[in-house]
Amino acid sequence: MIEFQNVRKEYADVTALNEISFTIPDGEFVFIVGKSGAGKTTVTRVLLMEEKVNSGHIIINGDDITAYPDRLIPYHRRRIGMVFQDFRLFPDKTAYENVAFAMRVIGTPAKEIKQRVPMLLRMMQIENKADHFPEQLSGGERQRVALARAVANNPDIIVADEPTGNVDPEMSLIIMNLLKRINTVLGKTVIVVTHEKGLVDTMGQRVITISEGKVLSDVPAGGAEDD
Amino acid sequence: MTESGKKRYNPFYFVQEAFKGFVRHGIMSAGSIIVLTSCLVLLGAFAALIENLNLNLGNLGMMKEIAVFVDYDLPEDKVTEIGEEIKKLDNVSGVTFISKKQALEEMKETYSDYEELFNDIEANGDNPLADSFIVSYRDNDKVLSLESALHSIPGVLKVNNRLDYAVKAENFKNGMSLVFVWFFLLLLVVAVFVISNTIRLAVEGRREEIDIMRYIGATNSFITAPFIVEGSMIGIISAVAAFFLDAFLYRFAISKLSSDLKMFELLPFSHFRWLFLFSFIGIGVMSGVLTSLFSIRKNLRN
Repeated sequence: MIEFQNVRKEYADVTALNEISFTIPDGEFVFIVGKSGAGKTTVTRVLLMEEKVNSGHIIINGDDITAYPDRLIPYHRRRIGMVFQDFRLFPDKTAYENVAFAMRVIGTPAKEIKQRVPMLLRMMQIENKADHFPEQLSGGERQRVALARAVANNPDIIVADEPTGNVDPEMSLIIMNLLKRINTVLGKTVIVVTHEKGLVDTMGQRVITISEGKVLSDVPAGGAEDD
Repeated sequence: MTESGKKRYNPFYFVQEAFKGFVRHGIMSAGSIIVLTSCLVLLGAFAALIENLNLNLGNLGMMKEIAVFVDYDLPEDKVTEIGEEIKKLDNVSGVTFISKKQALEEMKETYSDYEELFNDIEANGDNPLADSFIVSYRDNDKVLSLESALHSIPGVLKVNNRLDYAVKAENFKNGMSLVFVWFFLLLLVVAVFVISNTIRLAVEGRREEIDIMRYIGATNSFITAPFIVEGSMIGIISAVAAFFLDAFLYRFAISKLSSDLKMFELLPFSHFRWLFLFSFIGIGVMSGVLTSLFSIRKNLRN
């Protein structure tokens, strides 16, 4: 479970998160939406411990991550699989190597990497491009490699920051369905930060809307707005 | 949460990445190697010089001899008298007479390249040298009183204690040490600067990769290890290059100097071999690793 408790984050003279609070239970699929500058990306940054909060607490599975020392940050990030708008793949590594590298970083034995990577690429329907470099792949294919990498180390949480920002509408839906599959088949908690309202409406999942660093609305999956 | 996820990494990956970085910034890597090699060659040259000086200073001290020169035109019987007087002095263990003719012959032998000059001197009968005695003594502590007793003998022109040479050489050695230490430090600073720039470039070139690594949970040690290996590669290559350069230069110097410096004993390169090899590798790797570590920590902080 992820709990944001009165989290405040300020940059110079801007308040990005203003005493924000919400809870995401394990295995939930959640959209975080809002206008540009609303603070939705800051939510992912503090969740990944890229930024330290000014006040408040972020509790993940009972641990207050705001109290973690810096040396625990890498181990904390291994619990979260990240997907970015610009893919952030290693340009000099093939699709296979990109996924394998994420596993190598945490010291996974070579035998396990060999077994798991083809399975992940198959799951993301990109196994036929395993030996292609990122520049030889389309936007949608790159994002599917990024998804395979995000789940490679079996994290508890997947955070996707504008994952469909660089792909066509048809591929956007495929990406969203893959994220949904990760949520339902693998049981991961999935948080998708996006501004694509149409896509959000199509998926019919919980939607947290942020405005000026505060939760403006919190609509559960297929349901009415919570108070 | 704990660091329980720690696992063993494949060291081959770090070497492979270090090699890539080394090749990618080939010119900077070569620059680092050249400066660090110069530094180590200088260190070796100085160590060899000091070792040879120490050996010869030791030889000078062990000789326990004083050269006593008598006035130029002293008659033969007066010279013999001086010899007898020297023998009677305290602390004297032996006296050897060297006539000015003998001294000239010895000089001719030492400086055989200038034979014509000596032939001219002999032809004119103008031997510029003086008769002398080599006085051997037993105790170094009493050498000053012996020296003053020798000075007080009438007809004695000059007293040369070899300990004086030893003191002069010792002063020379100390002066050289000081110059060397400063020069060595200056080169080391330049080496550290060049290596740190090479590593900084390597970090900059991989900035995006490092960011991705951070997102997927790479530890600082995983990210920094290839750069540390790259630094130690620079250190090892420099150490080996400096070792062979010093071996070549030392043997070349010995072959050129041994005929000119007959009175000195010169150590063979094999005397320094292991000391040079291990100390060069030690210093090279230490400077490479520490500089890389410092540089990457500084650059990763941002």
